[in-house]
Amino acid sequence: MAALLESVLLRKVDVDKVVDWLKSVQEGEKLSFSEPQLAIQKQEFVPFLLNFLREQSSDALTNGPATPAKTPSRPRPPAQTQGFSDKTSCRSAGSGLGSRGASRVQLFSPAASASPGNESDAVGQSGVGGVSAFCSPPWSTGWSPASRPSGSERKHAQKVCLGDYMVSSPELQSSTSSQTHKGRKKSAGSTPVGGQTRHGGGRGGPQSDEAGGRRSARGGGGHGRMSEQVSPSTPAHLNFNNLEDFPPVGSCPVSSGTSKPSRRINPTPVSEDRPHSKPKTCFTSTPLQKASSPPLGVEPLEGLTAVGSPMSLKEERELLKKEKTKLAQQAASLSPFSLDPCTPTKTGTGTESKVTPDPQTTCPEPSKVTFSSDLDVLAELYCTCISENLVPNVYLELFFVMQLLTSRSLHTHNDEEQLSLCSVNSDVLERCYLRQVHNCVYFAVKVLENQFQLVAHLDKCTLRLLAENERVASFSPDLKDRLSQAQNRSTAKLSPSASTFIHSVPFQPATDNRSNFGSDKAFHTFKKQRDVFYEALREWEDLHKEPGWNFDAALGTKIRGMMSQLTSAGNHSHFARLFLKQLVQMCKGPRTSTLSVDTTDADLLGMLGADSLGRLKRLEERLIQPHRVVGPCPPPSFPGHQEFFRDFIQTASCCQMNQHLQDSLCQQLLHLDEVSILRPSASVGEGEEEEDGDMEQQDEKQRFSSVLLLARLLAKFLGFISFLPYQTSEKPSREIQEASVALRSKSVQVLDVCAVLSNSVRRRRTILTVPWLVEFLSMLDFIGPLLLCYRVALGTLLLLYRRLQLNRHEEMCYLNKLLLVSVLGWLFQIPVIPEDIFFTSEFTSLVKDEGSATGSAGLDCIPLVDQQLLYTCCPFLGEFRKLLAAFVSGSAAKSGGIIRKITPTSAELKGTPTANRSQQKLQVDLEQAFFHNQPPSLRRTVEFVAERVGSNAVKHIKATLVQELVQRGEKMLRDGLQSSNANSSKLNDSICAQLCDVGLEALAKATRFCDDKSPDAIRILLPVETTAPVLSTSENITKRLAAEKACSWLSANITALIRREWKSRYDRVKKALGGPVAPDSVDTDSAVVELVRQGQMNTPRKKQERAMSCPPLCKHNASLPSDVLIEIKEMLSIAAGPRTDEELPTGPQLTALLQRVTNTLECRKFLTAVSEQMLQNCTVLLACKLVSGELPLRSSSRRGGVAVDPGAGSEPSVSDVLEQLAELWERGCCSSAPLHQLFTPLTVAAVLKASDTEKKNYLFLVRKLVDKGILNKEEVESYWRKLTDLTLPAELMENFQLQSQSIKLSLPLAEMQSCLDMLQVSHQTIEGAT
Amino acid sequence: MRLSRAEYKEIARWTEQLRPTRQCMKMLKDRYPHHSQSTLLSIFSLEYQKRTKRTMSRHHVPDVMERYYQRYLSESKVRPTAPVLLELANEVDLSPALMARIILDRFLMDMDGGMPSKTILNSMLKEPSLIQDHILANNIYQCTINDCCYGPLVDCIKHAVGQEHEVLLRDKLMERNLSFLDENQLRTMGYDKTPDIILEVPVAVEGHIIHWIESKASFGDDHSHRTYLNEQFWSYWNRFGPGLVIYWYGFIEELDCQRDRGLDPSMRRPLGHHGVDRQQWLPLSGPTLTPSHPCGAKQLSPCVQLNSTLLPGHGTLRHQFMAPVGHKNRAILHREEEKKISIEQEQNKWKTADSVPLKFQAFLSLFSKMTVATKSS
Repeated sequence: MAALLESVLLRKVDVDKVVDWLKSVQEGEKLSFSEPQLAIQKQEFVPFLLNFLREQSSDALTNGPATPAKTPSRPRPPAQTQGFSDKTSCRSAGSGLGSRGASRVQLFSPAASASPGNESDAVGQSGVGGVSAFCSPPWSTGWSPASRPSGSERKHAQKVCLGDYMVSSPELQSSTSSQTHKGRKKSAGSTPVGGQTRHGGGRGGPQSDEAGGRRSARGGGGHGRMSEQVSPSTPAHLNFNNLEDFPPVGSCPVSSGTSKPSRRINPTPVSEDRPHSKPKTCFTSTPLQKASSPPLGVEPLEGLTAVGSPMSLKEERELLKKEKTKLAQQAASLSPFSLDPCTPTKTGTGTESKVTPDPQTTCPEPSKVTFSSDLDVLAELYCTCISENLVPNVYLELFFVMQLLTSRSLHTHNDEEQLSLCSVNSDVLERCYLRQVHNCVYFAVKVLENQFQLVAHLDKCTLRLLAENERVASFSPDLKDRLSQAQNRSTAKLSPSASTFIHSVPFQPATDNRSNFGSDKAFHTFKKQRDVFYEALREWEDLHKEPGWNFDAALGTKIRGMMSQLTSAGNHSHFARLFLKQLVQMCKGPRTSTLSVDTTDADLLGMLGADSLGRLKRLEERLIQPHRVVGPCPPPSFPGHQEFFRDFIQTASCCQMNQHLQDSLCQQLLHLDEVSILRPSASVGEGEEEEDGDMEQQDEKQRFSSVLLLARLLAKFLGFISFLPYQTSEKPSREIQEASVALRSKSVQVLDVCAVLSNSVRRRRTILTVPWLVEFLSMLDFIGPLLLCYRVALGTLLLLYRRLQLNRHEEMCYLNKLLLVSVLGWLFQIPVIPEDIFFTSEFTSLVKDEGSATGSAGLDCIPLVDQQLLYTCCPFLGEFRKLLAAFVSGSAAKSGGIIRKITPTSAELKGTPTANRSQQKLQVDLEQAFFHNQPPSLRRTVEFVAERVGSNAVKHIKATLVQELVQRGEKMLRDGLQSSNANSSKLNDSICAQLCDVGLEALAKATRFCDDKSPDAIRILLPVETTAPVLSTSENITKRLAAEKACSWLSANITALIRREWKSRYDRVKKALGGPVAPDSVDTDSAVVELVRQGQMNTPRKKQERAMSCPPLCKHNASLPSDVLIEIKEMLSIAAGPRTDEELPTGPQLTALLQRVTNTLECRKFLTAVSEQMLQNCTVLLACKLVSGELPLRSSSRRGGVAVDPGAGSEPSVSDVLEQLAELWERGCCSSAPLHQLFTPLTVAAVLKASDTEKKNYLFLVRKLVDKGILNKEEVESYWRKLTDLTLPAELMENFQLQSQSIKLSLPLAEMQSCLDMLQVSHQTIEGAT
Repeated sequence: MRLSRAEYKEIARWTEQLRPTRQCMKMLKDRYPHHSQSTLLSIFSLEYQKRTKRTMSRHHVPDVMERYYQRYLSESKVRPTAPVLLELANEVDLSPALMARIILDRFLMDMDGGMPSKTILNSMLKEPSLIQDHILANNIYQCTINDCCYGPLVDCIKHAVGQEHEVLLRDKLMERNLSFLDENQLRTMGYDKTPDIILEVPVAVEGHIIHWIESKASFGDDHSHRTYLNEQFWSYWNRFGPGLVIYWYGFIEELDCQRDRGLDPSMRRPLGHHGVDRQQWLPLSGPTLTPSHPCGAKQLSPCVQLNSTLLPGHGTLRHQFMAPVGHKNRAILHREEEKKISIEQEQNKWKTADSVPLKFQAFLSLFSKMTVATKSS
């Protein structure tokens, strides 16, 4: 491999030949060239090339995270040549070994190397393993500094470090102290190297491993550079004060003012330690640097003084100079970027080095590029690898290139020196192709030019940053132009998309009411479960960001309690449904990660409205979040609310629930996977303009993207649940692996991935299936990929990936391919996916079979993916923008320019007054809210009808307006041509322009059309029972949606449509010059609208009337029952006492009250059975109190005087009141008054106790009652009879007996009878008597 | 009628000395002339219930109850016509109605020997004439009729008040052509939790979308609100989304504000006042209801306009001072108060709107005391 590259660089082999070889489809084909023993496999050459480039550029790359390629561990160089190439190949082989844990993104703890023999090797070589294992915060921070295979072992210089002292080796002894600081400056973390060590290659010696391991374990280290002298070095004095050698634990990488930028070991906790946005690290900062802003400029000096190691005067002077410039600079610009730790000068390195006035960076200049022809060759090879998908992740490579473009290597070396330094070396592979920033940029620009199509599909903002990049401009103005053009064409704006604002799953009687449950108990348990679930969700939302909050500790008990209740009630299926619905509701949208920003005051944001809200959010993001460039391969994660659901599943650890979830997820997924997306009508299939799709096509696109996003979400959770039992934090040892594989291969997997995949490949539906399968597979545990089924699936995916060369014109459209390539590339970089899988040829056979089958009608050929979807599925593509923006902010600070981070976006308003925005938002929210508690079918119907009507509106416009316009145009054209033999093309243009103007009428027409047609369709499609308001609301929503749909399509396309139509008409006219053209046949309304015409809906039923009815013409303005009750209660309590005389009511007061009671009892509106009964009861009690004299009336005329004043003038007397009461009871509304209370012993006793007046009143009332037929004689008699029969308590009995005897005495039975008779005959007499 | 928590606390503290009798209402009214009687009664009732819960255990000890009974017996013998029991209750600071219950219970035990059934006990409390001992009957009646916090009549009044306000609410909604399902309909449809009202077509109140309305004919204090939240409101939220709670007798301004940390205090400013029917309710509304908003009663502040093309005949439930206490994403709740739902139809052209990530995803809103406009008309 090395030999091949060497040969190419030496022009022994033609580049084209190699390129052709790389391009050849034959997988296993080997390239043999001049030297017969060299037969090289592609799988071996590619990783070698990648590593070579990484290594070459390692000096220059100081920005961004490391971009290690996942290189295979297996391929060994089949043959080794001698000399340097031998070493290099060894190196790469070694690196291959080491890369098991090292050369990939390590978010998870590194995989141990496969064999014990390699273990030390791995650790030693790949700082990463050590770093991530020991000190980098795992998981969350993003990238561990994945080092690439250290090429450093061959570096001569070395750094003194603790490890060096532990085992002394001959090599270690060999450096002189004078070299030491040089070594320190130049290298950090390089393995001690002697001549022979190199031969050890990756295996290295134990000491070197140890040292490397230590260094990396410290989280720091760097790597050496080639030094021109090879001289024996001895260990320097161990200096414990040297922060570089003994950095505080967990600190940033070893660094000091004298060290050079290191890229190999990339300290992870960037975000924590430097809030000010620099992606990469630095060596200017002391390890003691804290998160708070470091004292600017002082540290390097401190660092120096701390360093006790000898230092030449010259160097010190240089450093001082540097400090001075720095301070001066700070004074000039207080920009924080001026001290950008990433861009320090490298002073004191070379003895001759000049200190430039601008210590920032050397500005790359095209003229200073060295080895340009070699770079061209390299670029060509590299680009071939990229375009042939030979690299594991296309975007990773692109990212690497961008890093090169924005590299800030700070070589202030004399160019001559540099040149000589590099060219002195005779070995082509040892040349420093990418050491200088000039070369890096040159190379990067070359690659970008070559891969322009890929670049052009990045988002607008990235393109803009790229186009405005001064380096691009200076190296390739042409590329700059193309980028600017592409920027204008790019449509992807990363707009915040809507989230439905309702967060709860609606209760639907159809699925949730009692009849859906086996027992009452289950129903009621579930009722509680639902509330507990939401309670947990709310608590999580409120608190999970708080430091120290722990899901399991806070919610564990609650959730597990709930699970056990679920189990006992057997409600898992219901809960699983709720859980999944909630999951989908909250997490489906692309906007899953925004929770972090949601701390802003909700109301404030609510006021701002849609547009400003988005901007505010973005602004906030920019202000708050440092540019954390994490690279294009983030680990799988559960952003936003997904985290809650994941933690819930974990905490619940309920196997029943998991099973239900799994079943349901599986079913839904497979269902989604089968979803049919219609192919656009063939006529539009020109494909030159992606946006110019038909309306239907847009709808289908939207549907697709919604299906895809949903499937991805579900698949992720299915994967999570399925592999949950097997998750381990560390890669298990080989024995365990084998045992588990043997064990697990016996059982059936939850999802037959291979079948799904091969089916999808066969039916050309990979664009739908692969992205969700990737999500599913990303959840694999360490053993998973070793199982046959998953291994085959991964292999198939790999082959698929290889076949998806982006620049090849196949039936699959570019963005579709791009999405697949992107997600697959991401998958291959995930830690659990074994790296060896990528560079093998073991799956070749599969592809043959698959490739042969062709189903032309698959989804793959439909342009379904747009940039929005691409970015939604692959949010990591935004990393490019971050990287470039970070560069811009850095370089702008340098030039004192303005940092322009905020791209003003104001164009979208389209004349809508901003004041209406919140209004509109509210409207849309109201719509959402409306659908929330309605049956789902309602929404589907509305959406369906809206879509159809909208589409029909467009068709209608096409058939009528456009045709009409074209005809008008034709007439104009003919007239024009006849009248003045004018320039026909000019005429054409002017007519076309006029037509387009008139064409804007289409919007209004379409809206009218939608308004006309929608209601009918809705009416006929919704159930007849739908209530009027629901119906009309649905109609209105439909109208709006349909009009919106139609108008948005029309406004975007009407002009083009008219132009197109006009052009064809124009051509025809020109050709025939006079041949009349009949317009196309008319509008074809769809079935829905047709249906509507057939019949009118009957009006929806009326709400059922209130059962109780008031008397006719009742105005319902009586006092409320409660109010009257309160008054009566007051009256009764006065009667019961204790009271003051002032409190007693007057006659008029009482009559007024009774009038109110009467009114209240008559108006049934507010009455309930309870209050009605109580009210009647109270009137009876009031009567009792009146007849017994317990409630005397107060005369209103005489103040304070208590007078029972029966006949006094106009004042109503007690008997008047009693009569009023009797009248009240007489009414139908009081038929059930508890009149028996008038005859209770208590009442009668009270009456008897009182004076004769009271007795008379009592009799008067009774007579009234009988008179009015409210009571009949028999009833009264039986009451009285009962009274005499009553057995009363002894002491009272006596009294009562006495009293009743007295009654009998005064009113003996006969007398009583006569009395009653008398009452019946004429009450006037009695009244007169009283 | 919104009260600040401090105001509420002051009233509550003052009520501590009161006994739940007819007279106490007068005292309260004299003391706080600006607050409506219903509000004051509701507050007193809430506070008194808390007090009772605190102290009930003290009275519910067998020998204490025995002591009360014996005292009653001896004193009623001496003064058969005096309100012995009522005085006793006031003396030991126990609700007269509860005292009546204790004594009656004890009395029946004497009579029948065994534990009297609850039904008998309740019916006797309701209708003291069923009690054979007339002196006791009078005493019992005196207690239950005078008590303004407990007792069968009070219970009935509370029930009636609740019902009436639900009717009022339904009326209001129908008046505005708002289509809804009421509790009974929901129950027959098998809903497991039923708010008083579920709107078939949701509306916005002061810019907040609501799906359901719960009517509470009481004052909303911290304790009861918390209880309602846990037992009802959150359950409704979980099923139907955000909604509205009406505390007809007012509520504490800062209700549940621990949920709105980080809310800009300026956002709590009332958005405007208007349209209060003052004739009927002036005594209840207090000074806060002065219509001072320049827009006048018939205009809506911009944030509550509703589109008539969308919801013909529907409008916004509007009332004053609604300043939702938002809560991040989900927004929660509350506040509201005073009177009057007025709904207006706005003519507002509905254009395509970006859908927006709404911040207040859900909230419960509370407002109290709707005007009874119908009554005045």
